[in-house]
Amino acid sequence: MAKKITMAGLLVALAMILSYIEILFPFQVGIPGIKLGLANLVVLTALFFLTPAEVFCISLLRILLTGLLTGSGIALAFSLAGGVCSFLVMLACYKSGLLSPVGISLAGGTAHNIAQLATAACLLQTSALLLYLPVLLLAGIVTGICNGLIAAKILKSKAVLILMNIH
Amino acid sequence: MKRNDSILLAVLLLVTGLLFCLQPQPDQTKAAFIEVKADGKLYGTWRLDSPQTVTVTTAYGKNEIRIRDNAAFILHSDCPNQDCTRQSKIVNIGDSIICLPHKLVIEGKAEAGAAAVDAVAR
Amino acid sequence: MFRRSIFICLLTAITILSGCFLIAHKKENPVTRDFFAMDTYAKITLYGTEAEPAAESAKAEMLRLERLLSAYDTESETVLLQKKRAAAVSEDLAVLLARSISLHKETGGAFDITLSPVSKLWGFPHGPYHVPDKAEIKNALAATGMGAIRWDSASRQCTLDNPRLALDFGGIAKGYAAEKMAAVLKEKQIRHGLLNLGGNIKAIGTKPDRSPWRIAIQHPDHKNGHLGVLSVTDTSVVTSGDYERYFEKDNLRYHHILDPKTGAPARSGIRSATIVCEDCTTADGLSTALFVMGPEEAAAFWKRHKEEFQFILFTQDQTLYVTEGLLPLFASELSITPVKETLIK
Repeated sequence: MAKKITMAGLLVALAMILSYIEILFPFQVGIPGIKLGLANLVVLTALFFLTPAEVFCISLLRILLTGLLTGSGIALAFSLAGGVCSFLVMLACYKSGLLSPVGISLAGGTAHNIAQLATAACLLQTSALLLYLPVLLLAGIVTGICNGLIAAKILKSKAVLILMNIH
Repeated sequence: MKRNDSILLAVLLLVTGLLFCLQPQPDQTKAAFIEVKADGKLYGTWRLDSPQTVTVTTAYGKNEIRIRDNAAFILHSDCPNQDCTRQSKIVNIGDSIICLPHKLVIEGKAEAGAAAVDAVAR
Repeated sequence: MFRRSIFICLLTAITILSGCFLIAHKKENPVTRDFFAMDTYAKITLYGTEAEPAAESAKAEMLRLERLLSAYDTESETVLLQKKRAAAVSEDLAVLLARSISLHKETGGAFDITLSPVSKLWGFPHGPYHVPDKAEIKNALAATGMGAIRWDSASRQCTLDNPRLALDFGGIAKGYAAEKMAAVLKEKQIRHGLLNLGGNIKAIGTKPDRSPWRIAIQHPDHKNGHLGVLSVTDTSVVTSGDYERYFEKDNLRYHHILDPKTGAPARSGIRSATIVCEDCTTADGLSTALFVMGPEEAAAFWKRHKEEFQFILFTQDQTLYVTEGLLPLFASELSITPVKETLIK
């Protein structure tokens, strides 16, 4: 149990660091608060050796803690929407067994951004924001692929064996 | 596994590409009216925001210009080769339709007034 | 397989980053300030990261100059100078006095800052208006004359020899204000902006998308019409016209641009004179001067100063004169008479 909590803590911390790093990227789409979703890397990798409930907790914790430490209320709303949607989509893809980590991440990244945009459109009460959809989709595709490739590499490495031993 | 990934990627890229193409054009390039010149001389101008059919009759022949949905095109012409009826609609500034046998030139023009100007010196 | 994925990743990453930058630039909204100053409506339009504080600074600068130059504010330096008839003046007033005197000399007297007694006689700027008789004009003219201003640039000492002399910087103040405001903005690293001080235009740099600023020139007769549109960057455009401030009596229009020699509205045949040059103070002063000069004298004057400014004149007989240097930058639906060496009749 202690090992699990430690592991979970580490993963949340890692996800928060990734959240912070993505602020440094010049990703500006005119809607303040929209993020790239680099932290999905942690969620994605965790899906392979933790239960869905555990992964969801880690993701939620990360979002709430990061939201409290940085960003506005709106950014938190986007993060939540993006995080929840991408988690659900990635879980479904993982369970289906149809896609490799890259594909799962691709789906997750795209879902993450679509969810953010939809939330923005609702909160700001305007459909004009949908103009940003193509750019956000493209961004989601890229981050998805990047995260997926990194996750694939990690999952193939020896580190994973250690992680798997937690159960 | 890898093949499904590629399929997903291809689909997503396709959708993104389509969305890029469907983006509405900025208003600044849209033509406000058409200028019709017959044999080099100004025949008349008509605004694109009022739907109508303009019949241009010159010594060379007759052309019917249809203005609809902020665009203009040649609906009917009695010229021999009918090239003008097949040219694409005039939507933006600078778009043109030419009826060679009738020496007719239709050009999309910008709003001459306040829209294109940043300030007025007075 | 892995290498190829990396490659695709990189390509898409580059596309996205460029897309991000494009979007970031496309959505740039201007910062604007509009307010009343110097008896006119001023509008500042700026782009850039420092635009907000810069706009405030520019507005403050114009208000500061308004207080300095006001002919009505009893605390203004101008009024104090007139009362004391001799004083050492501040830097701004020094520049304005020096410029006014040199403009007066260069334009053969067409530019004059001492016409306030005559203006008031006619009722300008805001009325009540009346047409004075010859004696009244002669009396008012006796209170004018740039010759009564003794100016020493070294000591910044100004002495007014005529006790009735009143200084009116109206023909040059807005242009000077625009220049001072532009200096403030340049210091704040603003590279794209437009100052519109009651129709006196000062363009700073280009528009954010690198295209030139499009400045239309008011048509004297049609409120919503233009004489044409200029495409300019980093330049001033100032127009003097007979349609801005005037009154009509017995079917005759009396406008506010007075001929210093006659003490009456200039009847030079010009309805609108536009000067295009980098310095707004010069543009402001010359627009009044050329209006008074009339087409021939204006063309001759321009010939001597070709490198310094360009002009556009619209005359009573509906001729639109445009100097050579402006031809590529000016688009008009009216027919243009180019001015090259001399005026083409």
